[in-house]
Amino acid sequence: MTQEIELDLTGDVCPFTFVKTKLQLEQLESGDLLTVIFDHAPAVENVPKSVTNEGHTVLGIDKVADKLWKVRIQKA
Amino acid sequence: MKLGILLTTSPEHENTNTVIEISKSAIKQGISVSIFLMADGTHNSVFEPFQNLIEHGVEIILCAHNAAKRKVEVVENIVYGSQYDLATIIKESDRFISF
Repeated sequence: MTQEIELDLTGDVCPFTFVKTKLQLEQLESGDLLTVIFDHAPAVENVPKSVTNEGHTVLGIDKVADKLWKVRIQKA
Repeated sequence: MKLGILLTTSPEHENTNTVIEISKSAIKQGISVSIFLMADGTHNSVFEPFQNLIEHGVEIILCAHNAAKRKVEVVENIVYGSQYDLATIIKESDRFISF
């Protein structure tokens, strides 16, 4: 059964935004969904690019408030 | 062959000229060059002699976080990346030097 979890990385900046996203993804099963919350603008561009490079799928990037984004990722 | 370079000092430092000359020589010998700018090195992205490396075929990536902290102006043809990009350059380079 597909699992969907949320990871709040508000307050974190590069490179921890990517490191913590990657560590969380490693604990999931293939096909599981991870929603990551950022308030750091550079991360909203770089983390999706990096996880795509790693073979995962970015399902969406939503700006949910001023300086707050949600990135939905499906593990490869 | 691929050469990776990390530059962390600002254009006033002699490192910038060293990196420019090394990059030009490498390109002349058919070596591909990727430069990652971080910390004060992000200021090189708005330094024209350094920007000209792009026309020579050098790939330039900078740490978007460090650039934003230093209010460095966004420049075309330079990738606004992260430490992931630095790690990728290191992994893919045959030789890697840092300044």
